[in-house]
Amino acid sequence: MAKDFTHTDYYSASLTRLADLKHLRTNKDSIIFSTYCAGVSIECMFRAYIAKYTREFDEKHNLEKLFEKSLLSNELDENEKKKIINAVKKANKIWNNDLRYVSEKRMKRKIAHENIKTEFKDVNKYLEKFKSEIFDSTEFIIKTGVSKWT
Amino acid sequence: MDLIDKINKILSEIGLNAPIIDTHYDNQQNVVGHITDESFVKMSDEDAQSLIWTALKKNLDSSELIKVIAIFHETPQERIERIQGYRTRDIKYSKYWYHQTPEMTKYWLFVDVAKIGEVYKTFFLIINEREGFNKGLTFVYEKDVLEFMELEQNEIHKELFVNAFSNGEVDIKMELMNRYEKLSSQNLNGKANRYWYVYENFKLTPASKSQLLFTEGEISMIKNGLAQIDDFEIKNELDVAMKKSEIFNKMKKEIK
Repeated sequence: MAKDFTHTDYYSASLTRLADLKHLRTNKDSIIFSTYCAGVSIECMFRAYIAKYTREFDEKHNLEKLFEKSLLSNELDENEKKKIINAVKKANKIWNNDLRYVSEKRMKRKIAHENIKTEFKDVNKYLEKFKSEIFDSTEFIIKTGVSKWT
Repeated sequence: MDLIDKINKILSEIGLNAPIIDTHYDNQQNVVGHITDESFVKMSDEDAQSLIWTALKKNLDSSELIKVIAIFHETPQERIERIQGYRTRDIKYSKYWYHQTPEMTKYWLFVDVAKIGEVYKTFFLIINEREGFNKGLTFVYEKDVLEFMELEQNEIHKELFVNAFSNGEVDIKMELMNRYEKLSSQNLNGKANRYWYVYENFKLTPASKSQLLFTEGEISMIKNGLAQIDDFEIKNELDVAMKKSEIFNKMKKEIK
């Protein structure tokens, strides 16, 4: 964790990135950077909790690990835990810090290979499904983070 | 019973086929971890988490339950991606691969890509005679999927081949990771566990056609696998190799 960043820095950054994401989503051609922005928003929210409660250093960008370290889960009941675990899992599967270097072609190929293995066959909805997984998860996680922030 | 043992026991009894349960305490003595099983491939995330939390809620009291931060469910492929990450792959384009385990059992992996009619199909078959393991899968890439992937004609084979190979490789690794877990349950951990290498330097070796010599048991498994797939080129090539192996096996018997 960068030593000069406080929990409020991370918390504000999370909400700012979420606002950036909403703007990016108005452009259908910005899927890579909007996905990247979604992940950063989640990462900032978890880092805000970590900075506030445990201050455990973690230089990596794995959302599952950051979620565990944030202890946000301690604030949730079982139903909320179930939902946020699924949201974190979905976001973590799609997002990684290397998205900065990914081309749209490469991302579409990855999406296609994933869908080929599933029952989901409508290629026209591949991107919609992808977007809803990452963006719905992001909104849910940030909303939960905000609701439990004191 | 220690909380983590209690949780592991609960998770091992939720009706999954062969779950790998990987849980630990965090610095605040909360429990976090993963449960891996093939069943999650066909289960929705919501159903998977419900399965986990229904069992935990039924068997833990509230003071214990609150200590469970997260149990992430995952498929075998997701487990391998989590542990080993995505890497840029430099795969040689052999259709034939093998891996010999420390117990001298041999996994064969066969991979092929073919254009059949208007679609491209990929296929992999894995067999291990001594372990009685065989698995084959075919994936179909329709024209609209290939267009979505923005694949040029000269890119299609390589792109689909790499993915089929990776899927097969994951399944072999998962089998070996299961063996690691079994030995771990006998307190053989780290390098004392002969399957430790799966996490560190697992590799499949490409085989040339002249190296394709199969036992009678392997031939039977390969024939069963090939009977269920379309006319990939590899079928003819393996037929030739199996005939050669049959002659070789017969000669070996006569020498004895």
